[in-house]
Amino acid sequence: MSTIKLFFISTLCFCITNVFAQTVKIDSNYANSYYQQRVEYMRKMPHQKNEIVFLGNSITERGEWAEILSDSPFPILNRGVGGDNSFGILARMDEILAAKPRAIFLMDGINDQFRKLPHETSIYNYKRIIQKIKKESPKTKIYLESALPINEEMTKEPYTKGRNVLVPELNKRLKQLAEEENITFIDICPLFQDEEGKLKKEFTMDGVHLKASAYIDWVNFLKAQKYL
Amino acid sequence: MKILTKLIYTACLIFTHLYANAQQSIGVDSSYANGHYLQRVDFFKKMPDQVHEVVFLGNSITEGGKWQELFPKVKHVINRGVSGDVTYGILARMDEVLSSNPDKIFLLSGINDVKRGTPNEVIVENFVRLIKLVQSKSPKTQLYIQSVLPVNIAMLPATYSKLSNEKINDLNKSLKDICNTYKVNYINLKPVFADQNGEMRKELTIDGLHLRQASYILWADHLKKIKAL
Repeated sequence: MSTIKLFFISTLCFCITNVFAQTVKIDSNYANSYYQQRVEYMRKMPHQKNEIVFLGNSITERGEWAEILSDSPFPILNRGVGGDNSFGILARMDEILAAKPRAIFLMDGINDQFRKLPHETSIYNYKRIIQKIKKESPKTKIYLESALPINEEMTKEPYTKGRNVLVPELNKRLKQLAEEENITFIDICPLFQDEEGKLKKEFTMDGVHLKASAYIDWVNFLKAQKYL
Repeated sequence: MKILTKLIYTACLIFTHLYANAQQSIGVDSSYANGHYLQRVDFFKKMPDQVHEVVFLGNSITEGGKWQELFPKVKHVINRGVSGDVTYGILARMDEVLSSNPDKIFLLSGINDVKRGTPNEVIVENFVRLIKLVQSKSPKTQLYIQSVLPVNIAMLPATYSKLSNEKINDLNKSLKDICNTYKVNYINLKPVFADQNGEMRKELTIDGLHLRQASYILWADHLKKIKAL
């Protein structure tokens, strides 16, 4: 093969890669004003011993965890941020880990789907979150929870359409990641999804978020499994 | 007899007419049971009552606070805020709040009523009914009525056009008066949140009305400072 031919082929390869890179645009933004004011608060709050942290997006933020777990001997912290994604969670792990929490219950995933983040990217972010916890707070017990399905018959926003089909594959990979990292994986889906894998209507107002009483079932499930 | 019947009929008609007119001219919107309200109340009713509850009661401003985290040493702090709630909605769910005979209730309400254009006299009347309910059903409960927070007019979205700090100040004056009359604690939060012009301090709010999360730390510090909690 002549040099010119080789050069041509490598250029072609480069072009294909470029086109590919363009089609899988990665939106890694997270620091919107809502995120910032939540994180500002978290940084101002003093650390406590033996914190149990619920970490995630709006689904976590809307849970009255502290009330439902008011019999817990350990402080219950809500570290959910509405709209947050795997990049945003990774970026605020320092604040979470500075307290050396007793346990972290991590649930995320749906906002990554809303922005069509490739599963590889989400999983890589999760992996970095897990490894950061292990490195900076090795005694923290990590519970990785499955992403919740949505109900697209009830959602209005265009960015939610065609996304529920992505959730089972993400959860499969999360389970696999938990095995590789030797941490606990908790499949929450059976609690809240119907036989078609959609979020059950009776648990949600808008097809994405849970009604306040659904968190009672969630906590009871965690207790029944002895995670809490 | 016929004349009497006619008279009664006419009187009824006039009364109905006047009543309808009065209703229309006041135009009080007393609705509250929207989807969010119902699902929050469903949760409240499912949660078991505890002894020595400390209740934060109100609308979205209360709902947005992580009260248990702000008061880690106080046992059984519960959040009874419902986004969008008005004094009518709070009245309608007082049974659930009072069934545990809570130690303390911190009430902040009124801004959504003002937003709807409800006259201050009607809002104050609802507060009086609230106070009487607490005093009759759970006489040992310490009720704290907190002043309606100032707003930042320039930052408010258009849907809040009926709000003004003058109206809020007037309402707070009346709330303070009824607190004196009924021997209830009144907490003036204005010094915590207002700038020198009486507007909500810009740096403490998201949209001119709702608080940034860190602003709740100032609020909690104030309640600690005055030894309410």
